[in-house]
This record gives sequence, C-alpha cells and structure tokens, in this order.
Amino acid sequence: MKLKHPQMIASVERQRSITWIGRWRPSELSDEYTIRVFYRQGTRPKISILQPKLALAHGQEKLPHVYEEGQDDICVHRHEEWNKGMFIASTIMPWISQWLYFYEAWVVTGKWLGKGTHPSRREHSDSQADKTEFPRQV
Amino acid sequence: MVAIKTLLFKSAARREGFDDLLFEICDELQLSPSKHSLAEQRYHTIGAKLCAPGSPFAFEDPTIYPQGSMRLGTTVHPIDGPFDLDFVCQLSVPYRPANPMELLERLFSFFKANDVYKDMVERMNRCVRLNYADDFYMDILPACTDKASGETCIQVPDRTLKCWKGSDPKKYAAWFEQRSQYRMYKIAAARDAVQPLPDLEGTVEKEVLQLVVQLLKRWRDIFYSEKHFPPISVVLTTLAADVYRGEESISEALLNCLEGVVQRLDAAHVSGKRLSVMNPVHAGEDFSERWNNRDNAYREFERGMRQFAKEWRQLCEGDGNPNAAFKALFGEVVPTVIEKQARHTQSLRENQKLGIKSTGVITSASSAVSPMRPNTNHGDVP
Repeated sequence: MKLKHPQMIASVERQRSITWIGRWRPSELSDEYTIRVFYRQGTRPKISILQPKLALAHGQEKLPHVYEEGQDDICVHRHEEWNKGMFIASTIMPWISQWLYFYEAWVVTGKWLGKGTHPSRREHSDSQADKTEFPRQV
Repeated sequence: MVAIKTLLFKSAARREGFDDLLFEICDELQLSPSKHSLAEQRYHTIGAKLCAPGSPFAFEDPTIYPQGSMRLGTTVHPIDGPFDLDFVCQLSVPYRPANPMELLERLFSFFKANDVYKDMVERMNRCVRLNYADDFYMDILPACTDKASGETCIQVPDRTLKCWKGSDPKKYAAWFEQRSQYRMYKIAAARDAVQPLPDLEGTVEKEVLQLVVQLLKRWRDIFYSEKHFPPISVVLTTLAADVYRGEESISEALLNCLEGVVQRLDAAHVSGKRLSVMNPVHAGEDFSERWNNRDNAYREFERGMRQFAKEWRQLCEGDGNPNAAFKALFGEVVPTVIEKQARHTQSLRENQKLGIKSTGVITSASSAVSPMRPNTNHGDVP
C-alpha cells in the first residue's frame, strides 16, 4: 500500500488487524474524501468514508450500495469477487475510487450507473469469510 | 521582485475537467450534425423552389441562407419546444420602392400554394414560419438589397411592418468569426484521463467563442425562466464577441466575458446611462433598444450578469465537486451529460481499460498504478 498510495497511513493492532486512513479522490473534479480501510483476519475489508458526510440524491433516503452502517461501510464487491490472496492496494483501492465516482454521478442524476446487485442482508454475513493469513502489505 | 500571476484554478487538471464538461454540455445543447444537415437540405430545397420558373420570385433571383445561431454555430436547444432556426430569403432587388408587407404576403402565399408546405406554414410578425414538427421551426425573413449602404446590406420588414429596417447578417457573421480569432477547443485525446465520449456526433472541436455564447444563452434560459424580459441572444452574442480576448480555456473565456460585461456595466453606471449594445457592422442599429423603455428589464440583466460573474469566479477558484453548481447554472443538461460520462466510464471499466493513480483518481489502465478488476457493487437496496 505504501508504494502505491503513500498518503494511506497504516496502524496495526495486536498483529490481527490493520487500518489505513488517508485522502482519496476519484477524479480531478471530485471532492477530497478521507477514507479508512480496516482489515481483520477472517473478515472482508471494511471501507469507510470518514469525511465528508455524503449527501443524498434528490428524493432518496439512503445511500446506495452500502451495508448497515451507511457510509461507514460501503460495499464495493460481491463476496466471491475478493479473497484473502488478493492485495488490498491492487484490488480494493481501485474499487473505492469507482464507488465514489458512481456515487457522485448518483447524487446529481439519481441513478447508480456502475451496475450492481441488491441481495438481502443475510448474504453479507461476515462469518462466510475464510480464516485467513495476515495479508501482505503493498 | 518577480510578480507572481495568480492562477484561477487550483490545478491545470481541474481547469481541463471544467472545460471538458462545458464542452460536452454545449455538445448536448446544440443542433446535432444530423439535424443540421436536415436543415441545410430543407432550405436548399426551398431555395430551388423559389427560383423555379412559375415561382412568384423567379425574376428576382432569390437566395436563401441561414442567419443567427445556425449561421454562427451557437444553437442552444430551448427549454420548451423545438429549435428555432432563422433564415433570410433575399431578393436581388433594391428595397425601394418595394413594400415590406406585400413582400411578406407574397412569401406566405407562395408556401400556402405549395402542397408540401401549405399545412406547416404560419405567418408571423415579420417572417414566415415553417413548422417541421419534431425537428425545428424555420423562420424565413424576406429581404431586399441595400447596396447603397454596403455590399451585403439588406433591408428587412421592421417589427411594425410599416417600413424597412436595415441589417447585415452576412457581415455580422464575418465579424463574429474574426472575433473568435479561430481559437478552437477540443477534447484532447492524449490526456492522462478517462477517454472522451465516443458518441460526440462528430463534434470534436469548436471555437471557444461559440462555446461561451452557447453557455451564456443556456444560463439565460435557466436564470430568467420565471422572470420577464430575458436578454435577447444577439445582445449576449455581441457582448461576448466584443469582450473575447482569444482565451483558449472555455472556463477562463467565460469568466473574462462575464467580468468584462460587469466592467462595462460599471462604466455605464458611472456615466449615468445604460449599457448600449450596438451592431458593430451596421451603423445606428441598437440591439439593446428593448431596454429603452424597460428599466426593470435592464436591471434584471445587470443583476443576472453580476451574479453569474461572481458565482463563476467562485466555482473556478474553488475546490470540490462542481456538479450541483453546474446544474444550478445550466439546468438538466448537466445530469444528462454526467450520466453519459458515467455510462462511458462503466463500459471502459467492463472492458478493463481503467485503473487508478496514487491519489485514487481514475485513469486509463496504461497510466495507472493499479488496474481496476471486475467487480459488482453490492449492498442494500436504498
């Protein structure tokens, strides 16, 4: 992560989890966001948009493509699209940009143009993730 | 000590992003190349019929040509209704002793007597309108020559139809083109960003001045939508062309135009008069004459210009996503363009052509630090 995205600052907790926090923007015309990526062994990476508070599209009551915690837990992939063998920097980070890009388009058009699925909450159970090794940092 | 020039935009990339977005807005607003061809085809057909033996104009060598926004390349789709395209039907006879009312009647009768046009022709105040249903209106203004005043000078019926009014649309168009300094803007293909839209209907570059005029007209349509007396297009066009200094960036050209107009408003204020917008190629013609007895219309124009100038500067100098501000200024065309851009980005993503820079900015895969792999956004239904 440090090589590709030096602005993401890591903090490690008890050798079992790692958190990166840093500034992020999906395009030159975007707002600058502060994001956090949290990874703990055995779970999917949790991606949060810390700042700013995300506005809603006109007439909408909720953000699209988020888990229960809203902008503190955005959804960028289906369960099967990511596994413990993938480097977070290479896979998750581009998906965060893409989520933010389509979020910004959604605010002004009311449409999510990035394509996606909307399953019931049950399928997002974290217990489905394998026990994993600690991911390598890049 | 070296003077440091203050940059308007926080970065060149931001200025380019603004300019590309403005370009796409104009592309979305204007008469498409296919409709433009259709209009050309139609007026050439009308011209041929006007010249044909048996036409009431056969001996007057009529020619028909576009004027106004179609001629200048500054068409903007009205908020309601189809495009309004202006043409001149010029007869090669001097305006004296012709009668403007008689000429207009003769033109109207010509269309009325023709099976193709009889159900689509309408007599307007000083021109004849052909209603091409969903495509556009063609407003045809009859005219005679006025060679004494100038090679391309014509006389057209004035609004009251009691007399003639001098005009010179060909010379105006030449003046406008010269004022543009032929500075073009195009979406640069070789930029380190997501590729430009593939379906710009063949419009890849336009004169910066044309784009500024289109944006002013569109802003006018949005800003004055619920008020009376919006400034007329020829006033906005002439002011923009007069103030334009050859800037290559659309956003900077627009800002300089707005601030240039505000300076002129200030100067007029100081001298106790209203701003006048005279026809630069035809002596004595005051494009702004409608402000003569309508003080409130002039005040509204002034207020609008000052507000737009201030808002535009703030946007250019500022930071963060400008989509909402653009939408407030230019209306629903902005979400339409954003949607098109987003769909295009999505298709690039599906074809694995995207990646990100270290800052997170989405870019082409070839210049990325990480390519974007296939994924699906998941999560609760909003």
